[in-house]
Amino acid sequence: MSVQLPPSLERLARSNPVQVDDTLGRQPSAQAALSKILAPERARPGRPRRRRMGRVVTVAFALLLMGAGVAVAAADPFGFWRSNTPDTALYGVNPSRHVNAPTPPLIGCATTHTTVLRCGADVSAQAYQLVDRVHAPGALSRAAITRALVQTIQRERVSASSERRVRGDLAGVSDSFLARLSEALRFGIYSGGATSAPPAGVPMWLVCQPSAGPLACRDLNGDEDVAVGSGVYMALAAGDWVPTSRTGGDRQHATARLMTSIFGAALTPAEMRLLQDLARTTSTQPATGGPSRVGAGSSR
Amino acid sequence: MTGSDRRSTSDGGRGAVEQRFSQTYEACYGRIHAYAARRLGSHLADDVTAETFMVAWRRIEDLPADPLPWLYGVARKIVLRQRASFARQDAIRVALAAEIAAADPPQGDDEALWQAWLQLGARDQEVLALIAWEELSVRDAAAALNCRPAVFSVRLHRARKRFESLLRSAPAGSQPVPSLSEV
Repeated sequence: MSVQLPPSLERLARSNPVQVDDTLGRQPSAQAALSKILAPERARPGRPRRRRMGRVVTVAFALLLMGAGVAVAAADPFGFWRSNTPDTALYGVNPSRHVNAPTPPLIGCATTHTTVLRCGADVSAQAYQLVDRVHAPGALSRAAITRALVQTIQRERVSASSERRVRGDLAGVSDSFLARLSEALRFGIYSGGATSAPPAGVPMWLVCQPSAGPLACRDLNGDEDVAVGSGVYMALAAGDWVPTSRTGGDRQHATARLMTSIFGAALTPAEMRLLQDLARTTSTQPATGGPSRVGAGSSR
Repeated sequence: MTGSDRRSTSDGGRGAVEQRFSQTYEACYGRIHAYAARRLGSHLADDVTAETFMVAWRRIEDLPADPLPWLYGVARKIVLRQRASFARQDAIRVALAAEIAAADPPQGDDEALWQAWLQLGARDQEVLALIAWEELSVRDAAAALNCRPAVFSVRLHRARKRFESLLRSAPAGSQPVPSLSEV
């Protein structure tokens, strides 16, 4: 770079977490991707399935971490499911309900502290942006986990001994454990990670469905009956927003409550070990990397 | 033989367009990939990069002669959408992120810098990163953010001041080196 940067930016530049590799575009994987881009549409649909399998495995891995010290609990997970963090929404998908996805990218909602908000094109009220639509929870079976695991192991080049151990642990867990793991896939969290949030009474996240008139929207946080296909809208920052401290504590606490409710008794050593092994197997993030991809991908 | 050579055809038209696109692809791929990796991690950079160029191919008529700032702008929107989508995480996966963060030792040398970085808002981070990491000029960074250079300059000035204020007060500590996705 020819321009002299101020010392603070020079310092930041020296800590650049990723160096550019100008040869990447000519390497086989990039050339293969280029071929797909230039090829007919039929070349593309395979990717979402791989992501879903990746999600299956990643979810399984993550469960592991919640196993320690789980107490017996019979409470309905939704009974105390709402997030207490302003910019976070915890929700559950009802896979038997399907709706058409709403399409307006930007809506305005008059937040009148009612359960159902009517939202339309007038964004002079609190504006919301369409960021996603709710996808059906993945089906979790032993075969699906195995397939996803194999792909992850191959992609991350796990050692042969680790692969044997993980396969052994997978074989050692019961079908009921996997069924409970499947149940967990219905739940989700959206978190903006922002430094400010809407004022009290104004939801950060909405779930919306088309209706005869304006979009019918609800606060996503605490909604335990979200239909597949619903649109997820995120509030756009406005002048009346209030500062908020970013913390992952509420999400983790809510996750722990969910695990307690779903799994009830403490996990067996085999179940714990499986989840720990899987977590380490897919724990490939560099320190500068972000979270693993979870979910069926964003809508376009 | 590069991909652009393979795609050169005698059909003119589409062949020439494909060739131009392929040349742009090979020339810019590494930078877009690095951009995505800094914000979402290396394991997602492939997908984001592919999607960026997919959009570029669909909008080939809009691709400017100097395509990199435009590509950064496309990649940025994909990253933002991806970040919001990921923010939608299956509940139990939240714990995985925490476990990974705890297990991986810090790899950065300048812990005070990362402490300050973590406290910056996403917009300030993006502005500073485009200059310091993507090494863009003010003009090109403004193009990537779809704003006027004068507006970008103001944002850059303010972001830098906030960053420097945080640097002055940031204590040294053992924290993992973050990416732009961790805000």
